[in-house]
Amino acid sequence: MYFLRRFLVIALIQLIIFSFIFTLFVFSFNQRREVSKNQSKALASIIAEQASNYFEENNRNFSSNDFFNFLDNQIGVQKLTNAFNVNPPEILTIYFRTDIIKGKVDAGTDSRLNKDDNSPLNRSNKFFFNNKYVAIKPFFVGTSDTPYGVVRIETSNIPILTEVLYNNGIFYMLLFLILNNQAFLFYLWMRKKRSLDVDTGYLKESSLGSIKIMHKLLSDVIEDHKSSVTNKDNPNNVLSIDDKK
Amino acid sequence: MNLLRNFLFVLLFIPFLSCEGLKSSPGIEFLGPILETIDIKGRLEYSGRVVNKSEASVSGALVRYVAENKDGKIIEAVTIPLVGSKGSSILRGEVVSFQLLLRSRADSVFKKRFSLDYKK
Repeated sequence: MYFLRRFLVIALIQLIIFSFIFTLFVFSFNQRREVSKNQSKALASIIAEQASNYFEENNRNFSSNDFFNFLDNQIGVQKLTNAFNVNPPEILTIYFRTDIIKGKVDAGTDSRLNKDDNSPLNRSNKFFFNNKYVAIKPFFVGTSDTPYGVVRIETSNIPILTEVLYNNGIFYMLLFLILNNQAFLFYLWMRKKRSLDVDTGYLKESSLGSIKIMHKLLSDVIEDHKSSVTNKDNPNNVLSIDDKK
Repeated sequence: MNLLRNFLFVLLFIPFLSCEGLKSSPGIEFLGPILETIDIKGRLEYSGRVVNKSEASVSGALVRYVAENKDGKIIEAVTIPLVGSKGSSILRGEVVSFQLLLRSRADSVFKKRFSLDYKK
């Protein structure tokens, strides 16, 4: 029972330390995720602007290869993702309004072609959080008020998770060791000092018990030697305590 | 003996502390995002580029694509070989374009995954 209680206290302290470190980790992760969200939105805006230019130049004719080359000439494919560093978007999607309205494809948008946060297409829950961020930006051709289509960019948050762990792993480990050290020091500080009380005695109950047993044994041994008959004939072999006296 | 044991323990521990395993070594990878569009027939079409960032040329590189429906079942899987300027091997730093078209209806595709497979 004593060890179980001690083990539970240690486990509780470790849990508190882990919770503290986990809170720091989640804070760092959320900060980095917000940066990634803003980058995705900015990239979607840039691509939407380029898509508007492309369709105006080509009289609304579209070829995926042409558009890819157009983007490469205007921005540079490498530059498209350089800003992301850790979690570059894997797929960049162009959907036309007509296809969305006809139901040919689900873009995860509402009727006004704005992002629908409740759409299952825009969520992917894994490891207890939504690990996908989707940026959707409608684009317009000419002076039209209705969007011609949407640009959709998906980014995964999992690489951010590993990146935060990679950058702060040693810090978390050191923090774990330091907090454990602090917990131990706190334990030493709080530990009760046993004061010497002359009235109640200064020995533990168990120590007193063993002394009593020893006292009884020694008394018995002395008593035995008092009553026993000593061998006077062979004094070299037997040592008599009484004789010494 | 204790010193040796402590030294071995530290050696075992260092890789976990540095988290080096989380960083993958450079190889061939997608250059920029893959463009997803819909063709006239309502099928999904993908265009992209791959670059060889490794120190040596790679051969037999493949682009694999897997499409899943809402239930997580694979409805279509496509594998296409990447062809460089010297045939099947992609030289160091070379950029190769690829394009693929799905047979499945666009509205049935819920989740997509791209991966690259190659030998060094």
